[in-house]
Amino acid sequence: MITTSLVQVVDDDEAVRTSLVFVLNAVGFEVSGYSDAKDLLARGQFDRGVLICDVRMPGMNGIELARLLRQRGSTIPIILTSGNARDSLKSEAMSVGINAILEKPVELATILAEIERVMLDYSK
Amino acid sequence: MNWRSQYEMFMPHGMCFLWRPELMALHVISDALIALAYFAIPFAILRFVQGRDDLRPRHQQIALLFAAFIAFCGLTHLLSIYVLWVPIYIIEGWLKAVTAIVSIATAISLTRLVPHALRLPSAESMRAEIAAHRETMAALEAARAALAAKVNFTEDALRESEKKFRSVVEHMSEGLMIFDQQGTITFHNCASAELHGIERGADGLFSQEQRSVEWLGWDNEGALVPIVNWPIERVLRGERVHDQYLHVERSDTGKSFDAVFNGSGIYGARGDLILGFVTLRDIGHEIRAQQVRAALAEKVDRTESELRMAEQHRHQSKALLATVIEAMPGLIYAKDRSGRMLLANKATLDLIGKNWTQVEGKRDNEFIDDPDQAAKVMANDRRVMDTGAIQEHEEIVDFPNKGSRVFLSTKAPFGHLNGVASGMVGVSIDITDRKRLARELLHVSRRSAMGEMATAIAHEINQPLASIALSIEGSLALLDKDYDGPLTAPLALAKAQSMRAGAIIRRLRSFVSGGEEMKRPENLTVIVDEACSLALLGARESGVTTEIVHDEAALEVFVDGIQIEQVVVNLVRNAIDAMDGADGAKLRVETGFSEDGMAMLSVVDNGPGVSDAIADRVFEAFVSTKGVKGMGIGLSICRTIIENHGGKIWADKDVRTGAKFRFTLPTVDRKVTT
Repeated sequence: MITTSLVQVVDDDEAVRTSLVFVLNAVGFEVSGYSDAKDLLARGQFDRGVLICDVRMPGMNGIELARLLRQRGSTIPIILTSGNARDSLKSEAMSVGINAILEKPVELATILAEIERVMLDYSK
Repeated sequence: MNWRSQYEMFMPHGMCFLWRPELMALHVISDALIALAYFAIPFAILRFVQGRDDLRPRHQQIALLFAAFIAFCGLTHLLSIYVLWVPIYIIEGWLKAVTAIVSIATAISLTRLVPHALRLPSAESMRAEIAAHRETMAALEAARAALAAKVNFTEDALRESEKKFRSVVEHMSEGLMIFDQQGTITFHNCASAELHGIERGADGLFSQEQRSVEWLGWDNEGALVPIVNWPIERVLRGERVHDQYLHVERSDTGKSFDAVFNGSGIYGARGDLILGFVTLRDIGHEIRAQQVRAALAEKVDRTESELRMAEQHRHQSKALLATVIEAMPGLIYAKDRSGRMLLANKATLDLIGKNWTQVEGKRDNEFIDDPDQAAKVMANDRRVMDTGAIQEHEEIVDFPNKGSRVFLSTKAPFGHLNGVASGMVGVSIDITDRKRLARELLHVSRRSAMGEMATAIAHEINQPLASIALSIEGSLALLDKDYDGPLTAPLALAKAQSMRAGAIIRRLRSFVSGGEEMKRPENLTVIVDEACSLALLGARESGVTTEIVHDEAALEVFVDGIQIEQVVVNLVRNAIDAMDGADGAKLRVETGFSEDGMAMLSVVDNGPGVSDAIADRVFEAFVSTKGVKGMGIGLSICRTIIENHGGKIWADKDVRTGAKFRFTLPTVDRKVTT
């Protein structure tokens, strides 16, 4: 398990964001939360760690954010969370360079497994 | 021997008389007188022949021969005198020989003439004949005179006749023109002159300039005929003109007319024209009459044909109306003021299940079983007739063999008499199916709205559920790794239940919203389990005992999981609805293989069941066993889905209690091999 990594959480739903930050903190990650894409772009770091991002957000949504980051050359692993992970969404997400999709509600174990997987992929 | 030596041989004949003077003198005088007489006779004959020019040549020859014979006899007598002194007996002999020949010829001729001479009339008979001639002459003269008188009389009659004829010709209604062999018109009768606009003199003739005129004519086809005295020229060519129609315009007199021409000629022995004539009948008034007649006839024709067409049209309309009324799928009927049936089309009779004679004059309550329904229908009829206004009613009538039907009835009054309708006509359309369909559509639209709502709700609920689950897990993580105290179980339960809630929401959402059709290998038992977890929500509370039995073998099928899940949910919900919370309600869901090796699902309940009669029809759209509650499309959708997957769905017959619905699906292996 990678415990020294940074996990940045972007979710407009405060309860979800807070609980994600809380649970990831609890298992030892360095976690920072952002209420929307704009906030992340202003304060976030894109050279390390993992990004966990909600799909439905006011302003720029998760897919658009991922596309923008990839356009800017960032290779940071991105995990998308969604309340409705349709097949069409999955294929769209893959096409813009998102590394994983998690369907909410999601167990911690699943989140940790995905983080580990994308980090491994990234380090390769 | 020359004749002189002869002469010296003989002696003169006087010597025979011895030169006796008295004898000599007797002979000489007698012979001289005879000769004289003989010479005189030929002259007389010659004169006679010259004087009678009516003698036939043969008779002339005979007369001349006779004259010659006499003359030669005279010559012989003269020579008898001469030989008294000169003895030329040889010459005398030859002369006598010639005389003899002539005499013989004359004698023969005369002998031949004797029969003719015998036939010559006698002078007496000649005279009688002449007298007869005279009488004849007199009679002839008398006849001639009579004839002359007669001729004079005939000439007078002829003149009279000609006068009459001319008068007839003059005043006959047809025009007559007479022309000579040069084609110059020598005569116009009154009618002709009038038609041509020609002034005639007192003598009935007309000026020379008017005799030859130029005509313009149009023939029957209306083509302009470039003609100069056209009918006349035809007659001059030896043709007959027969009923030739011409429209004539005379440039000189300005007259124009329409006429029928007839023309012919009188020809001489060598075929030369002596005179020609042309008659012309003015048909201007006939043409006008014909035009009027034609116009009239056309008008009459038109009126008649209009009448005929109107009649035909009326017949057709009537037949058409009758056909339409009969063929209309809707009910068409008419009732009189007291509600007695006056007319009912086939659809009406079919629905009632009676023929016209059974219905005619009957009231609704005589063939509608339910008295309340009959009363309502009759009240509607009466309201239409009382108000005199067209009205629309929704009417419900139960029929023994057709079930309960809903009609949209449009009713109109007819035959207003003093403001009171004498009856009503109604058209009723069976809207039972339409109403059910409308209800369906309402359900469907509500369902699709629900789908959208479900998606939104799923998101809204999933967010707090996610938050709850993560918070609990965070809390658990903060506890000591080896902690196993009183918090462990409740927190784990809280986490598990929030995850369960999330799963239900997710399943509900995908079930309601449908999503994209996607076939992939699925395990039928998993699909059935998921479907049951949805379909059985609340089942336990309503007292249904459920049993789910799976075949041990994995039932891999190539399907759209969501759609198959929908079918299972439908079947299970139908079973629960059918049992309707009855005591001891039992539901058994079973997976396995069919006899032909396909994956099979059975849903068995112990409710009222499906009658064998309807078992085959329950999969048709809008056939419901649930009455007003059911939509009647659930099973039809199920059939569509299963058949789209290459399977079959049916309801078992001969089931003692309850209903047994089954479907089969091809297994993956089969799918691959086919």
